[in-house]
Amino acid sequence: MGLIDFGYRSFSGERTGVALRIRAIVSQQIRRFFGKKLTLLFYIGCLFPAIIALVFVYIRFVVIEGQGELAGLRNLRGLSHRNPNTLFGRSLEEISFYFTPYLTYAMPIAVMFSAIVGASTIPNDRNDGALELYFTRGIRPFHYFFGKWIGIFFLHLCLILIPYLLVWIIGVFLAPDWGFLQNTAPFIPRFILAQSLFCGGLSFLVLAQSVSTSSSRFSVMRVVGGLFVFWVLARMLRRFFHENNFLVLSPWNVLKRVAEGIADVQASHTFDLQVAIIGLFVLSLLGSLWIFKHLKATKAVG
Amino acid sequence: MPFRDLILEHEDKTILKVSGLKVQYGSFVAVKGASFNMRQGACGLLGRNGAGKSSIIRTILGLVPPKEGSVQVLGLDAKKDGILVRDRIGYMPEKEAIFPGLSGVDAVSYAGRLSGLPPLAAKQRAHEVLFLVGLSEERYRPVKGYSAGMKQRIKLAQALIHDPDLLFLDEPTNGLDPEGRTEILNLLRNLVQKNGKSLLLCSHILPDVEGLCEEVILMDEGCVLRQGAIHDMLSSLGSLYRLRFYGEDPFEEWLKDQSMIQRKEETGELLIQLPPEQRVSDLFAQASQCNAQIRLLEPEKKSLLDIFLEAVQSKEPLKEKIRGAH
Repeated sequence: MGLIDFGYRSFSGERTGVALRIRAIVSQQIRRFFGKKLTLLFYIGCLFPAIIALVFVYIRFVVIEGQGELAGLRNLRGLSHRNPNTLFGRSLEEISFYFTPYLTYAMPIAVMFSAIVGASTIPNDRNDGALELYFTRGIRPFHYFFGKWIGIFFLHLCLILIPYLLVWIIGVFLAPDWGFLQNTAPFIPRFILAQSLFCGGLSFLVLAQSVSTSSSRFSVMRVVGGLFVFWVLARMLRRFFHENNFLVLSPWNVLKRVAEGIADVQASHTFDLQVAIIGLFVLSLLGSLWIFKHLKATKAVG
Repeated sequence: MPFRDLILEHEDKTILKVSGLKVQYGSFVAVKGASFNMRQGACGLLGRNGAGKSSIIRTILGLVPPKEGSVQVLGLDAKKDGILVRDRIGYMPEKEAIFPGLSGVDAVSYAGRLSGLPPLAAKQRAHEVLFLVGLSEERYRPVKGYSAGMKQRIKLAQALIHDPDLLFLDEPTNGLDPEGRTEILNLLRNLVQKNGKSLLLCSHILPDVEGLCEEVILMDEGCVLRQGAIHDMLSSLGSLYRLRFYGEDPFEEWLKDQSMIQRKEETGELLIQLPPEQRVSDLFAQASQCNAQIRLLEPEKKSLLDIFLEAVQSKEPLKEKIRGAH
């Protein structure tokens, strides 16, 4: 391990601004996620609902509506047992029925997974002493948190938005006419906005709660346990008092209700959107105060 | 204005000015109104465990907010211009500090990007500084698997990547083998002498500080005890002698009364400091009066340890006074 002295060279170039430094944190976060075999495998697993959705789109536009007339797709007609409206002898509705439970629960599982990844990010940095390295560099704690937040937000988007957008784009090109695009295009911006708010809100809350601990396990338990406990508590209170607005006690419900409000779809929870918005505001405020108090490299002792 | 010009503006080459700094963790006061100036070059920051050395460095870097006082680094206010100041400081923490899940070159390059280096320049410089600190062959290995010595070297590389003007090194030779320690000390010496870098060195290995630094700041219990050039401090110590005698105890009592005894070695030899008004012949005369025979009396080579012990011991009466007043 002898020294090879090439000499020390000074740096004379221009230094980058804060935005590029934050970008470095974001890209590092994403690289770290996809660099691990386990997380990569789970990510591929989480893509299955999107792959199934892609198969449905394909069957509908190519096999059923397109009658397999696209180049190279004629062989698929054999799968439909010579009945163009079926696949393996079953209708599309029938097939989708069997997938419904999986598709219903796959999304929350994917979201929970990325939440768990988010919950362990800052505690791992604190545990490895990296927090001290970050805060002695040319960034502020706020920049560090912002970079981590964007990184986790992007991971959420990679799981629950980007694959479905790709499926939609593929669907647009596979559809036999522009009817599909005309019917769905007005809904897409709302869908993007709603998913972004849901992902952004969840990743913010998950990261914000994790700034106070150096134990990633504790942080993950707090996220999963916290979300579950408040979800149960909110449901119990709603049943006991017959008041739907008690659901605002669950951060999961709050995020979901606001996202559904933005997407303008039928709400799965029947509590007021205004109450949900106030709930979201309160959660964001509490999260910000928590970050301000606890995001420090050195904890006070004595 | 380029940052290097800011340094040159200071005619006395003061690059770090700490005034009345008070640092508090909860109810515990770690630094009690410390004030000192550091000039360009290498400076040692010495003190016992818990003296407040690391707290001062952490405050300068903005990790801990000061309760009172001000810090000026390279002519800039450390509190107001935090990012600008930290861009020009390289910090090597004492405890383990790594970016998890990265190889050596990626970790160093990432540290550079966080300090404002463009991606390509960060990568190039990462390779260069890893060669410089002796990690050329291990640079593609994950940092997590590095040995203690290698982790010390990569921390130094992370501190150097962005070409800082001032380096804060907290125990930089901890965990290094003798050969590695010499290499790193030589590298630091070159950085100071050839590249005009300044460094503040916190270490318990006093020979390292003595060999590298021109100045030293002595701290104890959150206060700065003494500051100045090591050479001046050594010459101000007076004449130090190693003494061995045979005979009656009254002679040792007399030495104690005269506050000459610096320390007593396990061998029974005494390290005494002869005040300017006393001469060696007076010692022999006194020994004779006390029926003692001086068997050994030789001048002792003074070191930083003597300065440190002398500074700490001279503080004791002051502490007693404070306790008495309470």
